[in-house]
Amino acid sequence: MSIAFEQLTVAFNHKAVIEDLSLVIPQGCFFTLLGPSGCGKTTLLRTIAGFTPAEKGRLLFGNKDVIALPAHQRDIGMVFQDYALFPDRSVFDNVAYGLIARGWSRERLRPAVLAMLDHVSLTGLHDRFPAALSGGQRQRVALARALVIKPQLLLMDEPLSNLDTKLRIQMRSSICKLQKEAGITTIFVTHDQEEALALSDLIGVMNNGKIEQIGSPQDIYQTPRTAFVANFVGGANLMPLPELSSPIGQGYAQVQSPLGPLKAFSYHQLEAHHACLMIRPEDINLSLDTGLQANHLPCRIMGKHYLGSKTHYDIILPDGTEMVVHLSGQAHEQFGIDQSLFACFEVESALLVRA
Amino acid sequence: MTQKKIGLLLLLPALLMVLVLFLFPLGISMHAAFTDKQGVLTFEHFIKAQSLYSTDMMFTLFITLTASVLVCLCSLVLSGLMGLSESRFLVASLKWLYRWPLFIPFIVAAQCMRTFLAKNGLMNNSFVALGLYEPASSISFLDWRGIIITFVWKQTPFVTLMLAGAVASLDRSMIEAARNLGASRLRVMVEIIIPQVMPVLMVGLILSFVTMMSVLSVPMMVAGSQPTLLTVDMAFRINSYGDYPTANALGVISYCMTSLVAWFYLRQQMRDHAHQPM
Ligand SMILES: Nc1ncnc2c1ncn2[C@@H]1O[C@H](COP(=O)(O)OP(=O)(O)O)[C@@H](O)[C@H]1O
Ligand SMILES: [Mg+2]
Repeated sequence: MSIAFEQLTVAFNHKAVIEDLSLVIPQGCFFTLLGPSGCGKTTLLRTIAGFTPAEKGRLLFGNKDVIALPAHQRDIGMVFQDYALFPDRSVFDNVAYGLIARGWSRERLRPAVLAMLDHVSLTGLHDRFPAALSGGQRQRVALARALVIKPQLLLMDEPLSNLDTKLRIQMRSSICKLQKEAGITTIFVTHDQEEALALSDLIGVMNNGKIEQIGSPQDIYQTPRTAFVANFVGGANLMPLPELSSPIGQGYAQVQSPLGPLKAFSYHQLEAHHACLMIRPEDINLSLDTGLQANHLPCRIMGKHYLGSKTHYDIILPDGTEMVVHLSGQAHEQFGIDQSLFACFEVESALLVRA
Repeated sequence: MTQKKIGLLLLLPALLMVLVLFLFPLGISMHAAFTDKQGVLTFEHFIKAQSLYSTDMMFTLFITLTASVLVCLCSLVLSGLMGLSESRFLVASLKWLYRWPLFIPFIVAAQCMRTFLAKNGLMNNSFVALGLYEPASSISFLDWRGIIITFVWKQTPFVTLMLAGAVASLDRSMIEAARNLGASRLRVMVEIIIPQVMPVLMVGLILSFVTMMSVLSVPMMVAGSQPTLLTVDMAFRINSYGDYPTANALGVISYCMTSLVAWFYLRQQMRDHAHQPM
């Protein structure tokens, strides 16, 4: 089932946390809401689930507006950040709860629950109580409980944030597999860009209650639309530009930076003001001469951090702009602190984004 | 001095208090209930109490148990509404209102109920004014119903206070998980919340049961003389006849009633703990 928001606004005490949000999520899509803490991800999820009322707007499941439906009639599976298992019920009864609420008989639901427990690799643990499970197992009970009702929509609020790194990566791939098998439209919330890039069909990058950009992981990483997206996903060096004389269309552009003209590229239409130049740390090369690349700016090395496979350099430009450069290989090993050289980058690496 | 000795020393004042103010008088009245004037063991006081007040014993049990059941229902409804309602106005006003009876002494509550429940009291007058029935057919509630109503009115806030605290301290997301899985609010209350606040509810009900067993003013003021609660009978034996042994026997019987309730609760607790690994 496809999900759509139309001008959804959610407010607490007359202060809008989510404002005029419009968005369509296609059937079967793994959609990730990615954004920093406090940007309104949980609020949006809770509004979809029916726990937080919307001020205005529509929420369409297929072509049915569900905004007025109470939480228990929305047919949504939800995995909570802290799992929210029922402590006084066994694993089996936790998973069975949604089916019992739907009026299934014990005989009918038993095979379904056991099959689901098998599916999430919890075979044989159906008699345990939540207190006797590890974090990863609780997580899987929560997932099984949400999936066994075959919901039209699956919501997950930072489900992996309480797990250790190894388990998180393991769970990430099982979530991905389960979602694809079930074909359930899923909205996954995270503040972890790596998780978002690894899991999603579509990512919506959220900032201050607004979605700044929606796209595939590649789109988001390679062609960010705004400085926020560029910086939040993957990290970026940002250089504010003085107001442009005219709007910028798609394609190559010559821009006037505080350090002289630069050749840049724009994937998106940009208005004249608020433009910003962004360069990924791994797209900058440091060299002793101006090199062959289209752009070169004089710079001085302020810091050097050796990280094994790569080295991070902190550099400063003549106008005081600080940048980060990630270099791999050995060619640059002789560069040292306070050395003056050139930061060089290609046209395609110098992207124009909205500030 | 060792830690243990210091601990005992610190405990001593409290132990003394219990000894002097509770166990000692309890022992004396127990002794008085079971012995005759010569100090020989006898059951005559109990036989007398039984022959005079067996109706009142049943009446007392009936009143306190019925009131407890009603208090249980009312406090569940109130704490459920306060915990689950989405109407902020309702929750705020309930929270503000429900505690008031807690601050009103039993004797004042009884007096209020007298004027409210009497044949020409506020309740009947309002119903008549609303045209619900004729003045002639209005009845006085100043009997067993009056006692129960007063007890429920006075004790519901107490149990609700405990219960609402327990409900508020439950994990919200667990309640939301149940809603999300398709359970209506009533279902969440019955299946998720009540089982988890049951221990608190039971403690509240037992404390309130004990309170109701020991209230003298309400049955005296609200209801007529017969049948009445054991507290009134005890007061009567002492004030009118100076008959301490029978009063003590009635006291022991009240103790037994409360112990019975407490025992039921403890046994249930044990069973629950045996069932659950947590
Ligand atoms: N119940 C609430 N009452 C008032 N403000 C809230 C409430 N819940 C969240 N907020 C505010 O809404 C904003 C978004 O919160 P949230 O959706 O939890 O962010 P996220 O999940 O992205 O970290 C925050 O500024 C938070 O303070
Ligand atoms: Mg959150």
